[in-house]
Parts: sequence; structure tokens; C-alpha cells
Amino acid sequence: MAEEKNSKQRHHRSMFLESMYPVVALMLVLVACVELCDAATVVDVYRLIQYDISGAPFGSRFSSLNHHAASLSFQHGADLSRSVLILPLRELDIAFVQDYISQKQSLGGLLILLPQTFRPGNIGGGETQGLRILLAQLEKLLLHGNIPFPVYFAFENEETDTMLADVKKNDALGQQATATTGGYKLVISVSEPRKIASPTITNIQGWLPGSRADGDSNQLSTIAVVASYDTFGAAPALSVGSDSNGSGVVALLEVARLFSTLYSNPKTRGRYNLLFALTSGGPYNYEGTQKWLKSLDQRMRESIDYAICLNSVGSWDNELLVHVSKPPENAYIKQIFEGFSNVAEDLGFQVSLKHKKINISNSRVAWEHEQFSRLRVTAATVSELLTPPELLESAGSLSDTRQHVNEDSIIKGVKLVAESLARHIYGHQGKDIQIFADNSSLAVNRFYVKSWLDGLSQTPRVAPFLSKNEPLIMALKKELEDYTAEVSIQQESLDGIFTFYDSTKASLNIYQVASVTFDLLLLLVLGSYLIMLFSFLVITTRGLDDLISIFRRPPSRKMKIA
Amino acid sequence: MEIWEVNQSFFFFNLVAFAWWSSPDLQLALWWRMTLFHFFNCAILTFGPHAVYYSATPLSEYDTLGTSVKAAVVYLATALVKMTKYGFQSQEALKAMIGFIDVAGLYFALAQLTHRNISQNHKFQAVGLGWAFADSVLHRLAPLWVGARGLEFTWDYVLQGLEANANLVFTISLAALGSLMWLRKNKPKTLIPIIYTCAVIIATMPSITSYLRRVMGWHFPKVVGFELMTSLVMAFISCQLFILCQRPSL
Repeated sequence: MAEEKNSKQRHHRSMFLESMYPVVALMLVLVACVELCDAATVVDVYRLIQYDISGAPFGSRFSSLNHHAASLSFQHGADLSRSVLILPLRELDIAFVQDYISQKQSLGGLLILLPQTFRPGNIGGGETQGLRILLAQLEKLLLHGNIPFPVYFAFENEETDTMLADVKKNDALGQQATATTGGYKLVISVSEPRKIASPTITNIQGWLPGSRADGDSNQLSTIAVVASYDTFGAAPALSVGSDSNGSGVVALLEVARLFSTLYSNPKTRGRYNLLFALTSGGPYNYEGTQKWLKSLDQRMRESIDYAICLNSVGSWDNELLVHVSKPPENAYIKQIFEGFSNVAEDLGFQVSLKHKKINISNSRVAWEHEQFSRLRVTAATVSELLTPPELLESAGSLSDTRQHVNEDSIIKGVKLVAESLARHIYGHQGKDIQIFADNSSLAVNRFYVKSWLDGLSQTPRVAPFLSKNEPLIMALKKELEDYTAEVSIQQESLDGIFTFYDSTKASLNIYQVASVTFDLLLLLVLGSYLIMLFSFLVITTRGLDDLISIFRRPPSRKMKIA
Repeated sequence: MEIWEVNQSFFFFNLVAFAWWSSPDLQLALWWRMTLFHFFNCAILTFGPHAVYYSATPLSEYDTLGTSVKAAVVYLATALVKMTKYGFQSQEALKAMIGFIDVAGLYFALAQLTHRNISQNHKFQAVGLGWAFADSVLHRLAPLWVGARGLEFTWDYVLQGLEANANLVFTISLAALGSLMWLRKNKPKTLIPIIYTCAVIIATMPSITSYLRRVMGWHFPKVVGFELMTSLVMAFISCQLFILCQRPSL
């Protein structure tokens, strides 16, 4: 009787479980296609720029990432093609990175951790000059190399620090991070980068007419003040270029403000028109400046007496340089330079003249004034830089942050330009008059300079990634509208030898994964726990004999049939 | 062992061996399938003991599945009542109410529902089992499904499974005490207050754990450990009380 019941029970149970088994398997298969992504840690990361020059590829050519994390403490000869190498800037070994890039070793990805001090908007100081130099070297290496794996920059925080410490510990133990040994998995899921179809460069110009005495204003000469506002750097989403050329833009805006105050009153309006231009395309051989000049009416262009270009005036102390392409013996150059040196003397610093001839056959445009000179307009660049920057360098690198720009330098530069312009316009050359004296109504506004500098230092400005109606461009336009009579925007497409690819910013998901061995171990533990529970319950409720009889059932059944 | 068991273990062994020896590419491809592994582990930890309890004890022989199902339905009904009560009352009164509603539901399942002719001994076990299973499914299945399949590994779901185990023991003890309180008429007078105290302790367990978590700031592992210990202690006490109360009726 009991045996019948037992066998019936067994039959029931086996049927039930047998029918469940394919259902469970089917469920597992069906839902195996769904992958859930909810990482405990998400970090903002910024991709290395990807660009072509005349078809030759540069920068990082890939963007998506799905590999295990590895650190520099990995074993020699380990295969890193399926790992993302995490490099904190503080422990960077340039030679190692160079080897990896030049020997085309395969690497799953590179994540460079920058100290928080390099974050745009972070005012706190504390990092050393050594880190900046290292960062500059790294940037140069990465920008000019063709890198077949994704390279991302991120800022150090608590989570990345703990992850890195863990990864280092694992690596030191010699466990290579694979699917079986656990560790951290870094996932960036973005689509493959695409070419930016026709990147636009936007030039903004403001026209401040002078007072017409007897004739009409068309006969008045014009003086132009120009600065290029866009940047280029290793990480376009971080390229804020505080000094190159945020300082120039701020100086231009302040000069415009001062002259607009002067020109607002007809009695103090000078006999010169003033033309303020914020040009784009600076890092790309000043293409924007060239296009802007060519778009100007020829008569307008011919009426330009001279142009002052501002490039990096934010971190100098005693000496500012005036770069020219016409020989210093030229009468106009002499006049301009004399004006500058007189004012500089009064203000207590020094200006020097540097001459660099233009090589017509070379397409490289080293300074902005060269674009003017090529169209036979007298121009000079006021800058703190001694030598012209190389192509795509000093145009807003990662180390060009707000902390290293000094408002005082910009203010001194503004005073220099404004005073010398004013003395020229109002005919006070050589006289000891200070028009924009401190504590006067025409004083240089320190707060204005500071607030614009702070704002620009948090705005990345790489031209191909700026849309046509970018808030920055609208803001600059509005600012010039406040100070000048006529503002016009010129939008051109950046053609020529440069091609850019999108995908500059992404979110990195960091998953802490357990290895397969851990899961198997857990399964083993759980299996034995359930078996023990089963045995315990059978023993306590039915007695030990029943437990033994469960395992002896098949032989007894066979015997029964036989 | 049954044939299906042999089949299953064989299949599993093959899967594991294949995963182990295959190339890194395939290992990585299997990676996201392995995230279901953790879900499977936590699921058997959370729901396995219920199945084991049912099959190991004489419950399965006396076919008490119906009772368990009915108890599960009553649990769902009480859960619904609790949810509707949420909007109307403040935090503290709510916690007390929840305990009371739970006990009321259990009373209904034990005393009011007509079951087939099952001995009292098995009745409370079946009711407790059904109740605990419904509780686990309602409160733990959804988070497990959503969370344990992700790439990120946390101990949360393993702890949740352990909590489910503790909850099973608690519920069965509470059902035992409940059956003692409401179904057994002749109890030794001295034991009655002990029975009631134990029942109150178990019924207010949720508020005790939330108090520990919120006010004392205990972390989840500590709370689960406490729950497991208390559940074993309570089970032992309830077992003893049950045995003591059983003697006079013999």
C-alpha cells in the first residue's frame, strides 16, 4: 500500500519535473538574448580626436569598447588585445605608450586617467609643472599617431581609484583578466564614428563706424582687431583653450567694449572705423581668417590701415611680442611698433618685434597676420609666444586650463592694444596721455575679463563640432552687437585637407564581474546545501530508513520487475 | 537517480566543459550567457528550499499541494489589502498594521478554509509553505529577474535568497504556533503565554528588521545573519512547544 503510494508519488514528481525542464530551458534560451546594462559605476569619458589630413588617418580610429580592465602591472608578454589598459597620468611612461603605438601592438583600448585639476571649471591648483609637460608630450604623441584602438580620457575619482587598485592587485597576482577569472569589465557602447559631413566655420565680425567729418564714412580708414576663437586638442570635448585663444577673445571683447564707450558719444568718436572679427578655423592654417578676408568687399579691405591679431595673451609677465611678416624697416610697421613700445614703456613692460618672412610656396600659415599679409594688408600679431606654434599645436591642449591664465596679463594686453589704438586714432602719438586710466570711466573692467575668461574656459570650442547655432556663437554675436553698430556672421564650410569624425564624448560603464569559477563554486555550495536540507528534512520527518530507501529504490524496482 | 536527473547533469557537465576549453572568443561570447548563471544560482537558493521541503517531508505523500496553493492565494489577498492600506496611514502605525494583517491572513488560511482531511501536523506545514512561497515570489522574483542578470556582480541577490530561507522557517514556525493557538483546544495553561509571545515576535519580525536597518544602521549581510539565527531559534522553540502540546491530546 505504502509502496504503491510511493511509486505513484515518484511518478507524479518525475512527470512534473520532466515537463518543467524543457520549459525552463526554453525560457533561458529566449531571454538569453536580452542583456541588461545597469552598472554600478558610470564615468564620463572623452575620446581622442579622430581626423584625416589629406586622407592620412590620425588619432584614435575606434570608439566602442567592451573589454576587461588591465593595468600597467601586467605580466610581461601578456596578451592585451582583449583588455583596456588603464593609465593614470601620474604614472605614465611615455616610452611605453610610444612603443605600443609605433609597433602597432594590439590593445583592446586605452583609458588615460587625468587628475581632477585638469578638469575645465576646476579652479583648485596643486599639480606640478611636470605633469603638464608629460601631458603635452602624451598629447603630441597621440595626435600625430594612427591609433587602431579606442583611446579615452577620464578624470580620476573615488570609483576609478578603487577599481584601479583592485585591477593592479589582480594583475600583480599574475591572473590575466579573462572571462574566467573575474575582475572589471569596461563597456562603452557607442556607434562607430562617422565623418562629419561638412563642418562649418563661423566668423563673427562687428563694425564700429567712425565719425564722418566732411566726406562719407567710406573714405575713412579702418583698423581691424582680430582674434580666432576656436580650439583644437587631443580631446575635443575638453579643448577649452583658456590661453590659446580664450585670452585673445576676451581681450578683443574688452577692447571692443572700451571703444564702443568712446564711440557712443559723437564728440569722442574717432576718425577711424573699427572692425572687430572673431574668426574660426585658427588651428587649420587660419582658414577662417582667409575666407573672411576674401569675403570682404575689396574697397573695405583696401581701407584697412592695419590689423592687430591677438593670439595667447594670458600668461606672460614682462614681455609681449609683436610678430610681423613685413620687414621691420617698413614705415607702417615702424609706426605700429613705436606706438606699442611707447605705451608699453608707460605701463611698465616690454614689447619686442619679431619678423618672420612668409614662404609663399609653403601652405603652412604660422600666424594669423600672415593671412592679411598675403592679401597685402598690413598686420601684426600680438602674442606671448616666442615662436610660431606647429600645425595643430598650442591651440587648446588638455593642459591649457584656466588656472594657468592670469587676468592681469590679459588686462595689460588690453591696455596696450587699446591705448596704442586710441593714440593713433586721436593723434596723440608720443604724448603722455592715458586714455584708459584705472579708476576712470574708461578703465579696463577686471570683472568683465574674469567672467568671460571663466566662461570660455568651460566651453570646448573645436570648430567641426560646433553647430551652426551653437550657444557660444550666439553669445559672442550678442556681445559684439552690444558694442558695435553692425554685426554679421559668415558661415563657411571647412574644406581643404582636414576631415573630422564625430563621437567625442561617451559614458563608460564599469562592471564588477564575477568569474565563471565563482558561479560554479556557488552552484556547488547551493547544490550541497539543498541536498543536506533534503536529507535533514527526510530524516527528521520520516526517519533515517526512508532516506536510505530513497537511494536504494532503483535496484529494488528492478528486482521487483525481475 | 531518475533519468531526467542524469540527463540534466550530463547536459550541464557538457556545457561547463565546453565553456572551459573553448577559445577566448567563444568564452567571451558565452559571457553574457553566463550572467544568467548567477540568476539561476540565486533562484535556486531562493525557491529551492520550498521545493525541497515539499518533496522531503511527508507533505508530498499526502498530496497537500492544494492546501499550499490555497494558502498562497490567501497571502496574495492579504498583500493586496496591505497595498491598499499604504496610502492611508503613517509609517509606524503602518508597520504594526502590516503585522496584524499578516496574522489575520494566516488565521484565515489555517482556521477558516476547509481543507481535505489532513492531520493538523501537516496542515500548518502546508499552509506555511504556500504562504512563504507566495511571499518569496511576490517580493523577490522581480528584483532577482531584473537585477541578477546584469553584468555587475553583487552579493545582494545571494543575501536575498538567504533571507527567503529564513522567511520560510519563520512562516512555518508562525503557522505552527498559529495552529496551536487556534486549532488546538486543550493546551497546558503554562505554555499559552509562551506561545503567544513567540507568535508576536515572529509576526513583528519585519518591523524589527526594518528598525535594525534604519535606526541602528545595520548593513544587509548583518540583518540577514540575524534573521537566520533568529529563525533557527524560533523554529526550535516552536518545535518544542508543538511537541509539548501534542502530548495531552494523545
